[in-house]
Amino acid sequence: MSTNPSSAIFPTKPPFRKLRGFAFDPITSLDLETAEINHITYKVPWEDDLKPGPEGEYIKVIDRDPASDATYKPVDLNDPSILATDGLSPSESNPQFHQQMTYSVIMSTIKNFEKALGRKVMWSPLEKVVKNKHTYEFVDKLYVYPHALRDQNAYYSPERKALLFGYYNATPKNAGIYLPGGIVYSCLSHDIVAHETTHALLDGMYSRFMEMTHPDVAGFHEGFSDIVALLQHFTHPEIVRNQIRKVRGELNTENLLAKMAVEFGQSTGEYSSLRDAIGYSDKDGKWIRNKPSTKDYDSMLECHDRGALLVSTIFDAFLAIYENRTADLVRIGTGGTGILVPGEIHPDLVKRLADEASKVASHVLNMCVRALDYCPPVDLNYGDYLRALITADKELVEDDVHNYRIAFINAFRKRGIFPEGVSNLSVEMLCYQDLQDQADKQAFSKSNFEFLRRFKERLSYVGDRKTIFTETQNFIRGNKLKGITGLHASLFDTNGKATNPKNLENITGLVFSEQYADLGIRNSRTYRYSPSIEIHSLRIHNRTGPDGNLQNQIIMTLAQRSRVQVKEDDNGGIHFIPLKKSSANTSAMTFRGGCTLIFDLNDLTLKHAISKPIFDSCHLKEKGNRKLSLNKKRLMMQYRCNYGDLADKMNFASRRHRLSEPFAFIHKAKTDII
Amino acid sequence: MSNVNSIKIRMYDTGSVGDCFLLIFEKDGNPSFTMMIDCGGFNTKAAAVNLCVQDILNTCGGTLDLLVLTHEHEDHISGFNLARDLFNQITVKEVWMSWVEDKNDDIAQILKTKFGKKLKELKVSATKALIEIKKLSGITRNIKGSKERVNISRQNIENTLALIEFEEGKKFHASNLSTGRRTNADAMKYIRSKGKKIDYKKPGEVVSQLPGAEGIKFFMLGPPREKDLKFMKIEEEEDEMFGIAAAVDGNDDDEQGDEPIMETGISLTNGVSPFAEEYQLKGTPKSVFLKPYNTENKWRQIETDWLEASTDLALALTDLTNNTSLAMALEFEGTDTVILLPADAQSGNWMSWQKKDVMKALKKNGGKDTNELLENAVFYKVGHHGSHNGTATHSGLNRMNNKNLVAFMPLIQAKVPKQWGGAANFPAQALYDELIVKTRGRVVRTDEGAVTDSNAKKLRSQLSSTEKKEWNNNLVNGPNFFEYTVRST
Repeated sequence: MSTNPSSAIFPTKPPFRKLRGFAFDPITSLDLETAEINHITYKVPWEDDLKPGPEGEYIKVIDRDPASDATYKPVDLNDPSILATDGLSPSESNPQFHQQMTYSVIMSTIKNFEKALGRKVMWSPLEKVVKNKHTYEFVDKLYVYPHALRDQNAYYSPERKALLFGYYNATPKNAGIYLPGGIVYSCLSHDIVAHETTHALLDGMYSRFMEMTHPDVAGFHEGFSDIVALLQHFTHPEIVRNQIRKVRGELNTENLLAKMAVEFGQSTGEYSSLRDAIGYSDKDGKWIRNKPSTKDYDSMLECHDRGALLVSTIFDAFLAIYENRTADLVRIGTGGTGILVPGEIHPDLVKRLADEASKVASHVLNMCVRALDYCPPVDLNYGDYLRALITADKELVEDDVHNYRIAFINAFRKRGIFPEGVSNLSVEMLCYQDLQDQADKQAFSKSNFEFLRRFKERLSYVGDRKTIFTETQNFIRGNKLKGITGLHASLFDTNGKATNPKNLENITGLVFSEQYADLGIRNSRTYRYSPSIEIHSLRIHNRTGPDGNLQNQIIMTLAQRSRVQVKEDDNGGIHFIPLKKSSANTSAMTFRGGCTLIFDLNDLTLKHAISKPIFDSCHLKEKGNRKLSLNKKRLMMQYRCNYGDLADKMNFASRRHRLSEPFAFIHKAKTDII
Repeated sequence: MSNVNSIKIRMYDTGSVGDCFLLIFEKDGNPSFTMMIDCGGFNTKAAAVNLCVQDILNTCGGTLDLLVLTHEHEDHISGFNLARDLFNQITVKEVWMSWVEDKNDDIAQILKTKFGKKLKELKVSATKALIEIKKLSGITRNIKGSKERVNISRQNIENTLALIEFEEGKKFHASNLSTGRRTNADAMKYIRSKGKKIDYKKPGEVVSQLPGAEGIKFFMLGPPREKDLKFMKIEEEEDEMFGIAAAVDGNDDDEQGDEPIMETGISLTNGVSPFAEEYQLKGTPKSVFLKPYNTENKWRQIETDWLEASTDLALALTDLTNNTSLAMALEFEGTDTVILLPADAQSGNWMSWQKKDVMKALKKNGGKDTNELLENAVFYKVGHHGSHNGTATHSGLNRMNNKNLVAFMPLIQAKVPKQWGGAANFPAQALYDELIVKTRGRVVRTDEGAVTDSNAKKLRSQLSSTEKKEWNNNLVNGPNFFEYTVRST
């Protein structure tokens, strides 16, 4: 170490790096009412080895601007003059500030995810296919291109592991506060950056959430990303404080926050799901909130609407919780009447309300992210997500004193979102039940649990993401050199027979018995006589709840794939015929089942199995020679989304040509053609 | 002098997607005036066009009273190059084009200059992008999803280039064309010199009492003419298209067409950065910084993404030229019988017919405004080969309520180029369905004749016996054309 005496006085690293930036986007600064809150200081986790770019552990900003044929100098956030001033000052004309802003928002979003999940986040691995053999490589850094496009567009490219942001000329038509002909940079908008980052984080957890198997799948990626962007605003108390002070008079708190959300959303233009979902201002500028209807879930099928539906649902829950938590404050502040006297609100009350709002926002954001661990790995619908939310929260927080869970259930219920297969909407019913049946519990043998424990022990103190990735791969696939038996091998014996096929099937909804071939499922590449099962992920889940209860769990996600041919008969009936292996049928549809298993390492039990069965599990018999058939209900929904009546509603793409990137949507050219 | 009381309209098969029409005006069954509108086909062969022009030559007896060239696109003018020898045998008394083709029109010059600049800029970038994307093909081979992405990107950029090529009109696909017959410009030059008289038409004008065409009024509807090119630039307006949820809030009925006093902002130019020069990396530091990006991480490059959206831009440019279409309506004077000929007008052109000044001028000069003309249309030449934005809703088909409406759609579906959206988008399904309902099945397509759509067949069978008789009498299936006779009522 250095002999510099000062190093002894400050031996610890700074906990975070302060970086100035826009709370919303540069446009917001031009409005007198919002200017003062638009500049905030992001506190992002300190990275020791931050290189110019910025390039840190998670992301690498490369400021290449192909349309200008230019590359901009990478900002060095460790430069003393930048460090001393909390980063570069917000400026539209300095591309280095753009790099800093993008970095700040991405890192804040990552921090929120890591906090909620209790582990390091991973980007989706690089999948290579050589001679039909799939390999997965670790992707350490997400590439970030702040000036990639000249277009009103920004997207996450799942296959390049990159975020691309565009910039464009604002036109007089949408002028308003814009300068006609001025340039709008999407990388300077907190919401856009947070939204695209969330796409990437979500894809890192569940790569199958992009498969169009249900109208909710299309909506989930978009809606969830909007929720993260929106709630992140509310976590900054200084923003909320200003707004609460401003709109005094009508302290109908519900209206207040909703209106704020819409204003937050407006600045991003196309990310207008908020505006559409929550409410609108009428001709006289009077604020009107949309009324949810129990028909919403069945009627809002178009993908934008679908995303908006999720946003408004979650936001509704957020409002209800906030109201519940502040009712007493409002009464105290109004001498018990709940009606304010004219004039300014007491600054202390403003502060307390703002603190509550930001606390609630951070709790709700946490809940939403944490719930991801409890989602099935394929074919997610909003009902599943509600169950995941409730289960995740109940596991961590025993006593729901503030009725968070009820607020969520109500918000979903009001929009007609009901999970499948539950008899009522109580917390108890919605929560995934602990497995009770002894036979089910024992479906995973003792050796399976020992395997999981070894995995846990191996990774407990590893902080390096690459090591985590490699070790996880070793445990999933096995590594003879290191003497690790893979997970696959611990599920099947050397002859390729599953130890308890029937029980495993009951639990996972995937086929473990010999009849897999009849269902269009191919055999495993390593074990020629056993069905192929993809092990998507193996994750450690370590969290301490507010009551001090420690969770010590491992989450495993499995998936299975079947190929079916779709045949239409003369009466319009649709039939799905499983394809035997190696039949090269190009019109075949890939159909997946999947399951998320949550193991408790404290008492060595399988706690939950959250399944999207590949076979019809309703009429399952217990006899040994039972015959399985494909899950017609799910197949039918997938068919409708891909080829049937729902097909046009499923994607955001342009009518006239295909886009190469799934998350890129064509916005109507806002820029003048000539 | 007696009046024209019927018009025979021939829609020719030029061998590909394209327009070629001959209108034969008759007084009591005797031809008195001939009018030809456009002659071309996308990527078509001389043989097919020659057959059409031969028939025109025979029918008009060597003299056309009027030749209308609606706009400068291959699918409307290539015939004048391909069948030049036959055209040389035809005399044309008068040529009409839109004001956009008038070299002395100041607004036309603004339009052409801006358009040319944009086209050139786009071509340079897209050509470069194609080279870049080709380099990626090998590199991304083994990465899941990459191959497909690169292929689609490449396809999009190739489509952009194809559209640019179409706009430039420099590459005619038929071989062996001699000098002076190879480009759109050649064809335009030929047509300009062809007429004894040439006239450039502006919206609001109404022409009547043409010798031989007495009793017919020609109403000029488009192309829109404003300094800021406001309507010209509207390629598609959601509210004016069939089958698209009207998501437009507020009524955008303002008539502001004034140019701003000051040009603000920076207009982004390809290849020029919006940031100060000092921020750019240059020389060795640049190559060091970009080394991984250009070598082992080449698969993560973003060099061409910004141009993928250019397919939309290129389409918008094509639509802009379509919007320069000379759109007109022909009325049998004093009757409620109107023939609507919008050429390839897109949303903005249609919408501009509703402008107050255009409506007023038409009413004053011809006695009917746009809506009265639409209301009385009995023959509709479907705009832009049946594309989604070639027929407007509110400003168009919704107002055509005459129970005798017949539609002719110049479309050979199998020949729609992929860069236009391919056969899947022509005709636009929602429009097609509506058209069939409105005409009660009386839609005629170049490739099908009376359309074979099952609903159309059903609706045709439900026509009254008089209507059936008229339909059968008026519709003629020629060897390479379909003909319909519109009679004054």
